[in-house]
Amino acid sequence: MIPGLFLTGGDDPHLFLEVVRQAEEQGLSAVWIAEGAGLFLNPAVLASAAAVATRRIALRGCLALPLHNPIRVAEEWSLVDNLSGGRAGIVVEETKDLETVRRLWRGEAVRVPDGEGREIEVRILPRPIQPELPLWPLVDENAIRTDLAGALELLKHG
Amino acid sequence: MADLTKRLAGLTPEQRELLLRRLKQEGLAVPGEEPKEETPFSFDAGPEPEPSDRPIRFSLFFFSDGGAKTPAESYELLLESARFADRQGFAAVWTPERHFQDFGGLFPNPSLLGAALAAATERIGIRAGSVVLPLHDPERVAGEWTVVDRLSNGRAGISFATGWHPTDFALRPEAYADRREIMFRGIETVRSLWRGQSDVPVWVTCSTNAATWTRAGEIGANVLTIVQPLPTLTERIARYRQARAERGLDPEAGQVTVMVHAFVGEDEEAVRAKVRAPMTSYLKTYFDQHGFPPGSDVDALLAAAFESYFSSLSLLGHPDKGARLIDRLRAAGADEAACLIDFGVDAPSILEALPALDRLRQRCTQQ
Repeated sequence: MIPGLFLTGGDDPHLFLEVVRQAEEQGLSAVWIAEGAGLFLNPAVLASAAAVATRRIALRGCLALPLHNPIRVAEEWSLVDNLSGGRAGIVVEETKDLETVRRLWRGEAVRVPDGEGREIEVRILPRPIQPELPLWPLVDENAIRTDLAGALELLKHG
Repeated sequence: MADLTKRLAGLTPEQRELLLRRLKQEGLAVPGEEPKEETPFSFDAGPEPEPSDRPIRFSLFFFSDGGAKTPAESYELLLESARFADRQGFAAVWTPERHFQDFGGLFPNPSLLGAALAAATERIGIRAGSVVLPLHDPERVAGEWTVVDRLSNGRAGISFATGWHPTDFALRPEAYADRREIMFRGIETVRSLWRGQSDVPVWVTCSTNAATWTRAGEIGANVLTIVQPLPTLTERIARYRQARAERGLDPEAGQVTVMVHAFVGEDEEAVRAKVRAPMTSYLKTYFDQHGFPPGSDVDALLAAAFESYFSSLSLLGHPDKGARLIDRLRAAGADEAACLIDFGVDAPSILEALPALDRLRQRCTQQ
């Protein structure tokens, strides 16, 4: 049995859904979706599609957090958490922004300037389903790193 | 309500005139677009239109997530309604971008919702109404919507808005002051990135600001707007099509999509009872965000606003009344009625009322 799939890239969104569906059928606990180019630009977009196409498998984004607004990351993965019934998670490097994402996820407010330069407090919506954001400093070492075509081969032939 | 009606009736003629004048000045703007009005408009629908045989499409529009008890129920409502609309042949389902506030706060990024809808449906259009472009990196928007378009086999569409609420700009404070120009520049960037690769249709979200309608026409975009009295809407659409023509674009090829609140039912009084509280609360949230006219009698203003929406500016209530509004939209030159269904009625009732909306759609689209 394949311990887990770490999807590193690919072009075909339908193949992506096929891989995630098959991974779930075969009882895999999670797929990781690595941020990259093209189809993998924003793993939260793919995870949202996978959320409604599957029922059990965990959907985890591997993100280059320093490149993104932590508020947006928290909002988007909370949406994935809601669409998937609590199956979202992310893998990021430990940074200051990560602490912001964690706090927003717990429902805490963060202070930021608004469009008119006033300091305001914002909280994210939707509220996530999981009370704490599942975070990993690294991808499970046993997960197999592969692109979509390779993932499908693995799922077909083991 | 009897109390409110009594209060409205109990105003002196001067107070009543003042209230109506304020109502006329206020009007409602489109979410995502500046609430400021260049031309004041009333809540009156305007005179009876000339008959028109212009074809019109129906779509579903989500934007306030009112009525659902939990986020899970909101998303279930979205997916269930979209599946229904997909089976029945509605043109599209629209989802918004909203941040931080309860009003529509469950929709932080329409590209994620679009991806989910793509996986849940077969043929319906999947559109953002709207992407607040100044809050985003245009390259990222182009890339994310390319994914949605491919997931849905070419069903994606985006309406772009400037945004207006300073709080939303916590995501990108530096873009607030010049948001209008940043939006139009961003649209150009998105389109140039798509050129030769994606063919995602683009709308511009317009309230009654005439300059935005003209600009949308000049750049060959479609228009997304909210229902407004016939004379204003007719003038704006004509202006938009004229602007297209002046740039050598087929004026009629541009699509004008008009948002209308929808909850159709044969029993007028039962629908009124069902929608009055959520619609009034929706209108109040809206005025809270945009500011009440100073010194207004809030309850009387809301009661008057509700009555005019219910009687002539919505698809709330009897289908005959709804069909008349659709005729008005057609006569004004609109191409699509985008039905706002999540303004606050409870989710089970919204789903129950969808077949009546679909019958109205069939009646109006088979003419």
